Amino acid sequence: MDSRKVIKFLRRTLISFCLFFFIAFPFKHLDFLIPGVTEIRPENVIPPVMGILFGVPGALGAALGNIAGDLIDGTTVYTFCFGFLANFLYAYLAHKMWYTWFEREGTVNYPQIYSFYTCVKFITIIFVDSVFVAFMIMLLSEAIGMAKAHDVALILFYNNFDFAVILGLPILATVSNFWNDYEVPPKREISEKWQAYERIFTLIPAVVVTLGVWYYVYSRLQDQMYPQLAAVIMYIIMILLAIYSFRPRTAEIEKEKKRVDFSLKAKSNILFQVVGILMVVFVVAVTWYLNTKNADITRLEFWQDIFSTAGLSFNFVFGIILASLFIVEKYLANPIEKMTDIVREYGQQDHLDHQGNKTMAEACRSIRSKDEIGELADGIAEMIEDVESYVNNLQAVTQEKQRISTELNLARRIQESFLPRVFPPFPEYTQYFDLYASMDAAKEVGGDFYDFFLIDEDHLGLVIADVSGKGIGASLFMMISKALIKNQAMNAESPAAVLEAVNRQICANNEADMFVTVWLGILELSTGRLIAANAGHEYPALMRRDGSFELFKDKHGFVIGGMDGVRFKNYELTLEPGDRLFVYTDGVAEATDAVNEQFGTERTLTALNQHKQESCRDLISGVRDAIEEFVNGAPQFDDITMLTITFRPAELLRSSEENKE
Amino acid sequence: MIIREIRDNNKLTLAIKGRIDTATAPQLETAVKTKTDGVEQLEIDLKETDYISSAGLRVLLAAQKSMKKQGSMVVTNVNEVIHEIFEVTGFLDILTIQ
Repeated sequence: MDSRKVIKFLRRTLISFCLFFFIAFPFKHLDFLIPGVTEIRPENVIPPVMGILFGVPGALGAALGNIAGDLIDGTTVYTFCFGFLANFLYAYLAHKMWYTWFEREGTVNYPQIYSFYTCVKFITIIFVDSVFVAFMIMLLSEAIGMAKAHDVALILFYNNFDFAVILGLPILATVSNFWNDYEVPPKREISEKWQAYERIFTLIPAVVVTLGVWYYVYSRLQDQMYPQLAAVIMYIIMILLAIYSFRPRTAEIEKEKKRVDFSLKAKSNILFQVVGILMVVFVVAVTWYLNTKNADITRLEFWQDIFSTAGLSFNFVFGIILASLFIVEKYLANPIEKMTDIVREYGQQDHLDHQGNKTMAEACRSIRSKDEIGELADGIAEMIEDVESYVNNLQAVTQEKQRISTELNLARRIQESFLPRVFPPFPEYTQYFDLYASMDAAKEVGGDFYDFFLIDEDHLGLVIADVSGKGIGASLFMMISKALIKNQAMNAESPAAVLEAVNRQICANNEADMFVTVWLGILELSTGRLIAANAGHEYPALMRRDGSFELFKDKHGFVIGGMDGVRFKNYELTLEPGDRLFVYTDGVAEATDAVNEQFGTERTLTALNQHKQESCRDLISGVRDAIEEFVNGAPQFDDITMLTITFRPAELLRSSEENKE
Repeated sequence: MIIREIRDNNKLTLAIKGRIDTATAPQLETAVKTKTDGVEQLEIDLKETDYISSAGLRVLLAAQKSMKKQGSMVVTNVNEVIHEIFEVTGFLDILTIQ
């Protein structure tokens, strides 16, 4: 045998024994209720409670406690045995009844008193159990010639029932909140054979009650004792009850859903019980007081009165209490529990399960109270529906966003690859010029561009431009402008004429009122003659060989696409060998750091001059590094575009070597 | 960016405080579109404007064009930085600056 099980068994027996005995002990020395029969026995709560919770060891402990008590009283062996059996049955029957009575859908629940239903169950079981015990003891008292059955029956009943119920209800209600190691009788499957036995089992309580009632009435009518008859009937009843205690459990134990630790039902239960008990105590105290004032009353009558008052007031008060509990449960606790379950389940599942959501919303709406509970339920149902549609929406929106983002990335890649990026672009011309350009796009797709192309074998076209605004619109406009400018420039017209033609073309179709600033230059390679026109674009920076970069304040026309019919003016300058030209967009000068200070043209020139002897590629990366250092991690808002050309670079190289010496 | 409106019969002044850039230009665009019904003289007061980007220039250009149909538009209290921007972009000759 498992030693832990044995220890558990012994421990429980001991607990039951101690509780029984130490509660019983003080009352032994008070007045006897019915001399020789019974005294006030609050310990009567112990057998059914311990029995229900612990099963056999609980019953055993209580029965042993009774023997200990009887030893103190010094009663006969006969009474010992009887007392032992009666208490054992009293306790054990309660245990069995709990697990076999009140089956619902083939299940019973643990002995947790937290609701109207469980209260009613407990009270009923105790009632019947107390009736059994009352009968047994009343018959015994006649069998040993102590007292007449009808004299003692009621008080015996109340002595058990009152204490068991008034003390037992709150005890079980409280215990179930922090302890749940219940002893459960093993389950037996009902075979064909057992069906027949089942019928016998259900008859037994009826038979016992009938016998008892019959004897009570008979005793009352005859008003005398029949010791032998009483003894016989007593034995019959005890045997029947002993048989009954073997009734097997056939029901499943209800798997408790994870309940809240101290649920609403349990709380209201305890509240009502406390109120009820206080009321009963009050009534009893009043009765006690009134009876002590009454000098004529006998001790027996006194206690009969107290006990029956307690019993009756209990019935009355607890009847009201249970009805209130029922109402509270039906209209408050149950709907709230239902909603709690729905909300908990909702939290655990996928918000997009339409069928699931619909079921839950309907379940909520089925709670049709015309009060805050009903409103709460409707609110939850609405929320479930709303969340589903929001999540659906969100999914659709997110998908759309993803799609757009992919498209934007594609657009950016197309745009970037649209700019010429091979350097040196014209390998046969490297003696004429060194050329480099770069465009670093900002976060959002932008509209800066540069361009360079050979118009004929002696003329190089250079373009730098900046479209107003950002986004897809700007990038579309950029593509058009670039194509138009190149196309027009290839006709070998002067820059001003090119810009005027392009402006006309763009203004013809410019619904969106976009514009682009452009600097266009055409360099004659054999002579270094540069003809240029500026449509609202930043001043170029010019460096003469052996000099430094300075802003060249050229004449500005209006932006392209701003207004139809705008005229532009060419200007001319001659580049000597070793001279350099640097054009850029406003992203360079307007690059901002964390405190919103701009890089500015001064810093641009400084950066240029720091690298003025270097190749075009290095010059541009030098400026880029300077900008990066300046902004120091602040986000880039505008495209940074730069183009630079050195005329007859050999000359520059030579001069830089000369300067080193 | 905060736009203060001062309406005086058929003259409307929009005083702009802050920056007019890609983020804030739409606000100005909406203000011009919705508030200029029956307005014959529109004044854009840039006294408290720190900076204007190409997006802002675009809005001014569009405002100028639409006001030309119903009256006139002036831009006032332009600071140095903005003046230079107007100069470089050629807007100086297009807008009426006071």
